[in-house]
Amino acid sequence: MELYDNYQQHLHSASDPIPAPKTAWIWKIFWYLLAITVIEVGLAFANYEMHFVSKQILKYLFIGMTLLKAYYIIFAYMHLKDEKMGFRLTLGFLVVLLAYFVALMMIEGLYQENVRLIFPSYLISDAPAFGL
Amino acid sequence: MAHAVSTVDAPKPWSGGDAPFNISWGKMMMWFFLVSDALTFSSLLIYYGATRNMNREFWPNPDEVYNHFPFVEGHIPLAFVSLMTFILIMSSVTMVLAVEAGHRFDKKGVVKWMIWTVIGGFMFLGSQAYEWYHFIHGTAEGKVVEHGLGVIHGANMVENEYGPKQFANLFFLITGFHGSHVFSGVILNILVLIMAARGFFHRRGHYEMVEKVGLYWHFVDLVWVFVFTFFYLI
Repeated sequence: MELYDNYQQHLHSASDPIPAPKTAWIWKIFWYLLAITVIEVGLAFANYEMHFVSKQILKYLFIGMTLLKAYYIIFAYMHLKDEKMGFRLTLGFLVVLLAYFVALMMIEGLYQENVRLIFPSYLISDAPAFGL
Repeated sequence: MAHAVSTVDAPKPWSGGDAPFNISWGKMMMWFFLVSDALTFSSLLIYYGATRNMNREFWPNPDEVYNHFPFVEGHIPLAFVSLMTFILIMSSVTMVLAVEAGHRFDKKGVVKWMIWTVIGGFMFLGSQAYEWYHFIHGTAEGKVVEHGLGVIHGANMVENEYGPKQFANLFFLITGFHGSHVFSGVILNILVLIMAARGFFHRRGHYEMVEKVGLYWHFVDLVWVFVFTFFYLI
């Protein structure tokens, strides 16, 4: 424990006065997150009741808003914006791998659906369940 | 003497003995753990997406599956999971407030906000238990199955009334895996709360442990943001 203590920028002692809290930015991000969630749920609910827009468009909108929320949580609440750029890139490389993996598996899923529709006997189990 | 000038401004390579990326060892390892955990959750969610693409015509509309709300008769789509999302975002806010109080060496603030975070975690776990209860028990009507077993209500690992078998199995797997993360997060939060309340971090001189547990807790919130979108919205 003592070994890593010198990485702290400033070690406090019990006699130091406690500074006033600076929480305005925390609540600002909270309102962003809440607003995005309310918009998402509102759109989903309105579309469920009235069907004013195709679900496909809404799907991409939801994914975009989810990524926006993820950005706020990771960069603001997890303080990643305060870290060095090299560290951010080290972690961010994951996103590249995942984007490739997502595209790969979604296309594979649609291909498997085609296989199932063209060759129904490909499925071993009965009924619309698929015990693949 | 061009090279003599350039050596003055050149950045020093890391030669050990100090923190790489200027981040403490514990926090960096927590980030790396979270990256590996993110890969696990991603693979589960990506498999969910692929399975759903394989079976688009059988896949149920989530608005018609998760539509219970406590003390309310009838069906309200999305309301309860929105409440769960709100609870988890709120406990994420109290966690970041605890971290902020730790930066200011404010023991009372840390204890206060950690208590709220623990309460939020338990509220979320209770909500998830409610969600699972209604998913397992299902509707009164149920669904008539063709192969002679009669009517099924709710869901188990073999069959369910909502849609394909994989729908219920992936629901149990992914929300269960996330719930177990929330549970271990609550345990860690309680431990840090006890240590903070007993003045352990105060004597140590910094509240970095609150930051590390905070990273984990925000990650759990982050995963829920994605689970919420892919299970309940889309």
